[in-house]
Amino acid sequence: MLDGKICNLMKEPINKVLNTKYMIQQQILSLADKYQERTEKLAKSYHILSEIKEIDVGTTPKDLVWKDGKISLFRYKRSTPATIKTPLLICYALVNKQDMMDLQPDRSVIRKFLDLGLDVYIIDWGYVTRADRYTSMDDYINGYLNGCVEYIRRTHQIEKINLLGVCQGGTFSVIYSAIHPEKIKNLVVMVAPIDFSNKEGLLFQWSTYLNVDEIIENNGGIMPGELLNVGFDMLKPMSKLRKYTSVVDMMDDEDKLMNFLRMEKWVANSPDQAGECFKQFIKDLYQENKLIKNELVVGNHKVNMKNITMPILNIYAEADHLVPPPCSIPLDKFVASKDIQTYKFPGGHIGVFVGARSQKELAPTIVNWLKERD
Amino acid sequence: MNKPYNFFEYWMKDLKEQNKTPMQAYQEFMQNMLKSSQPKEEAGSQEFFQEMMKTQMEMGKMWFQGVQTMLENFAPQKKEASMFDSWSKMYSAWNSQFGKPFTGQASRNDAAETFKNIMTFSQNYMQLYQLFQPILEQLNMGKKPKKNAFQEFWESISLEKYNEIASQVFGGLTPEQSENFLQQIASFSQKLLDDLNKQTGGTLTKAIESVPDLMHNLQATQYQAFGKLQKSINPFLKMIPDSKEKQLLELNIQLQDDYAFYYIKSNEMQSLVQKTAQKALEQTLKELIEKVKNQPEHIITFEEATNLWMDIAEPMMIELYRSEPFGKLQAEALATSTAIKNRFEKQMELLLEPLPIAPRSEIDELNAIIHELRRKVRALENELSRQQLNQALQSKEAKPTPKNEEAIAENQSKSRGRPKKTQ
Repeated sequence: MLDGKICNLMKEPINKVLNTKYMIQQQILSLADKYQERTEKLAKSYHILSEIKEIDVGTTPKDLVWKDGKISLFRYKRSTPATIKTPLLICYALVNKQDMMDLQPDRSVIRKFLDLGLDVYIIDWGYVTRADRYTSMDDYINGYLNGCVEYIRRTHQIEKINLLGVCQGGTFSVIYSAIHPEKIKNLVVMVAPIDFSNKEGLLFQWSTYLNVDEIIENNGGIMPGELLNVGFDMLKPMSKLRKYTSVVDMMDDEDKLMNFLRMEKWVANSPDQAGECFKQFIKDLYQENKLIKNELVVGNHKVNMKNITMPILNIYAEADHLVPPPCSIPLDKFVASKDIQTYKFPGGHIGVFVGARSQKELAPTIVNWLKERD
Repeated sequence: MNKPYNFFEYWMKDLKEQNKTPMQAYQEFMQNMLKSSQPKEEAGSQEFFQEMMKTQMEMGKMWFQGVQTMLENFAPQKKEASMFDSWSKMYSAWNSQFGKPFTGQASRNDAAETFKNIMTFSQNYMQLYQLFQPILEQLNMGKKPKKNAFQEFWESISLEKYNEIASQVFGGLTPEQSENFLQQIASFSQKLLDDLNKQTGGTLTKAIESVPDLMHNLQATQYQAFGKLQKSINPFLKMIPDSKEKQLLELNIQLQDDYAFYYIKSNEMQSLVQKTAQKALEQTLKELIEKVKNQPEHIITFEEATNLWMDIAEPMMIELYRSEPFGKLQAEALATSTAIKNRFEKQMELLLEPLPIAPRSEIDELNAIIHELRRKVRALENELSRQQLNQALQSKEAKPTPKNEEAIAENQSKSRGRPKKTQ
């Protein structure tokens, strides 16, 4: 068959035919090798991954101390008394879960905080369903967050606690501190959007064109977490191709593989958003930037950022593609606090929690800052 | 799995030395591989290897079909498109088969989703390899590229295949998915309308017959088609008295229009994505050629080429996603897709009306009431908590006492009539 084809091609210069034949042979060999290589890697990946029964995240021991509906407050266990007397409440974002703060034992901001003497509480916002469609920003901030603060104040018999807000939870913490400044001793905000005039982040783009009311209503009053994840993927369109083609090369390294899988588990765990809250967050903050204009109204409270007089540590990530630095940096311009420190973290949005520098530098910086103001 | 032999070398050697047919050689190789793989005792592993063996055999068959196709099409002008088609089919088949045992035996495994993603993106990886490898073979021959090298390479690329890769990597509907989508819409609507038609004595039959044709021609007529279904059926709708059936029909007609609109918008988005992806490929090829011109001795690896492509494509895609035309299209498509969901729910409510089932709209009313009540309870609880704390702080100031967290918490729980503290 091949000979026949070659005979037919004899009209063409013989060198060209031979070269082409050689090239195609080479391509077959090369492609076959590549298929084989990939097949082996996939088979190996299959074996290793199928033997993993559970991927643990958020393993630092903790107790459930307070619950209201789906919202839970946990207190991390300490083996020794805290050396900083004011307890710290961590308010994470509604997007994704707070496990990022405690991804694995050697990459855990929480463990580091405990090691350095803090008494740490954390809020778990739970999983929103259609039944929670009417849960508003007022419910989250003046209801649940305030409920957690009240519990800690009551338990410790103190007037003020330390509050650490992360990302959207940082925005909530700033709003809370403006409404209830008498309850907050020190405020730490991490990678939190405050000034929404920058248009680089995902929600900034979406808020420009999306009819958020229509989308929420048609989704049964909630914003699906999956939909948000699609948007996050669009901020780094090649990241999935890069990571899933390269992960097969790390199958031999159990530590690296488990790190990868824990992160995967965290990324996949994206709760839906309560419609009322999401709508106000998009419209009042992303679209109208009301927070920094002191025009935001949450429940019966008009939010005046000048009410914020407590010490503030404002942490932003230099390479943050979700909350670009210009959204976080100018917090000091809008509050009345005299003691305010801005900390630049050399990394991305997630690196703040799991990067090596997070453990070595950032966590001690936060604890020392709180210690100095305890 | 043990580190296997290079099965291609084994195959070639076997063919020469033992004068066996390719399939015989391949079967033997697979059997040896199976024996040497030392399957685990657990039930799942054995099944997995049997499944793998089976699918590898399938892959082997397609492998030889690929070789056969290549030989039959052996001509410089024809390139390797058909051969690569066979490779691609082979890999897809293997890929889908290989995923089955994992899904079956390890669906509760936390890593199952990760493995699924690895499989999907491995296919993209191999598709990219098929795309770049012939070009790299040419570029790595140690000669300076011809003046018209870019044009030659560009013409050798199957843009259809490349668009498919772009759709998979950057999201969106592939042509096949679009077609399935339309077929599903037409089929669903037809069934629903058939049922309604029974109740309206066949009056709507002729109007409804136009639905599949209309859907089929949508891509060509684009916006002109939008809304036409509603207009064409409006006279018939006026003839039907107000009823549940009429509401259902109206919802269905709106759904048809929504589908059409969604399909159009998705295709427009897809077109923007593909155009941008093509620009990225053009730029990649130009840069690769330039690199070889400047460093003829440099061997460009596949990884280097794909990394370059990704580095070029990523910012281009981000720019596209941020652009106004794409943003508007995305918003329209998203709003329409959620409207479709909403109309479905309304249809379901109407259909379930005779049954003793509480519809979602009623549940939502209850949710609103519960939400309001909970707000009031929470406000009272917070006020109570604040008062308790004030009392505690006042008594603490008056007479310092050791911290009594448990007592306060217990008191708090009693006052609310439910156990709050679980520590």
